[in-house]
Amino acid sequence: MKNLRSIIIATLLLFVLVGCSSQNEELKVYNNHFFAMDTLVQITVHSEDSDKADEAFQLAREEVERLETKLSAHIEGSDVDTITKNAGIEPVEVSEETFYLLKKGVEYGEKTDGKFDITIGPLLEAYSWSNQVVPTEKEVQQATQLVDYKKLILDEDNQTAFLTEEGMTLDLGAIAKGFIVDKAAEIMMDHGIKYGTVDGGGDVYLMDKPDGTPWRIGIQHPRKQQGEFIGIVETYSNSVVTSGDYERYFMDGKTRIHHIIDPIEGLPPQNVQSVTISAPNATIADTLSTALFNYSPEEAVSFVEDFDGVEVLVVDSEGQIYKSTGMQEKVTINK
Amino acid sequence: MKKGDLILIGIVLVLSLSGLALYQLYFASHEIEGARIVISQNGDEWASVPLFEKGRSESIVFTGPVGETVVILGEDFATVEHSDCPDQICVSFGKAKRPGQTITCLPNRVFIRIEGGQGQDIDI
Repeated sequence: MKNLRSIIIATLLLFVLVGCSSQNEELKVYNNHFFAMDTLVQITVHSEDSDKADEAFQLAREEVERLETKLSAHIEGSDVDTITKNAGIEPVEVSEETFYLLKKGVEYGEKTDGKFDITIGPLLEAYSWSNQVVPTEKEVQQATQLVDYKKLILDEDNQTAFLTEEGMTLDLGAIAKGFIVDKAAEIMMDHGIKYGTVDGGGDVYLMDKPDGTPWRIGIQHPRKQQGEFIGIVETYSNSVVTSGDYERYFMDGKTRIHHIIDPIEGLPPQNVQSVTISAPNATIADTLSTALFNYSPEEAVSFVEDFDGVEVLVVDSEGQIYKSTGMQEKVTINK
Repeated sequence: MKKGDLILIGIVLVLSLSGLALYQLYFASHEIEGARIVISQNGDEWASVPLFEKGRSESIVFTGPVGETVVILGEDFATVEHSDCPDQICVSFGKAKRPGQTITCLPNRVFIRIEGGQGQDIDI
């Protein structure tokens, strides 16, 4: 009998070990990608069958394209384009999603004392990255005067938006991509996808990971070749987004003219190389990774300490790394 | 429990663990060997070839809205040798040789990805 008991125990142990090795064996990884929002959108899902994955990809793509036609400043007839064309003329009725995002934009304008501003369009238009043109001081001044989120009037009852001065333009580039990535992930999860990622040009939404371990996200080294990481963030959070001065830039003498412009100063900040945010969703992560670029590294760390579930990693102009309390546990810096 | 019982449990455990280790070793190496370079333009797949191919040296020229993007396939890597795009981000990437790595030429809509394998130490 004792021998029998031992055999039973040993057999159970064997089952446990075999069980561990075959966990989630039925799930396969499916990748898809498409170009939208002026970037590459990569979607990965872990699913039981390809039909379910394909259907989810299709739904996500349709959602991205649907929202882009409302929120892009560069698509004629979009809500954002129509608001801009009616600046100083009349309020414009917009879709529910646009109104929500405009409200979020104004909310973050207030939270950051104008360091994040969705009316930054005139400043972005003043710079030309493709032609490597730096605006004059006077041009920067003139453009800066047209940037003020407080002059965007939102009417909740009528779902309208109104830029009060002619010449003002909206640009949701620093918040809409994150929002659209969130919505694409949401529609896939509604469709029964539990495991996977949506990566909209670096704005990443993370669903659950099949093996239950944290996601490992490589953080691009701001001054090394693309694909060389400064560190790896391990996180269960739903989003990680990095903004860097290396993404779109040209050199004007010793000044790096990159694509993140301080809405108050009208200039690209020179004291930070990159800001990485880990947050509960990509809308917040996208917004804060841009907004905190306009802070000193110490201010950026202090800012997120008040946000539940939000962590930051800043690389300053000298390559020094600053981390919020929670980020210290999540990140491993490469030697 | 007798000494014989303990020995029996020990043997089964050792066999199980060895089996598990061999299983994972085999599949890990198999997966890395199975990694592929997948190249597409505008979402259409142009090539899906093994990551490792001895003696390979091929170039593929893609023509897009801003001119040409030239992709080189080496023995164990893919790289963009030249592109007419203004920002040159794709060229500056260098060689993609690890599973999970991607190179994108946005203006010409060219996308290279190393797929498959478990050799990647990051998820994204």
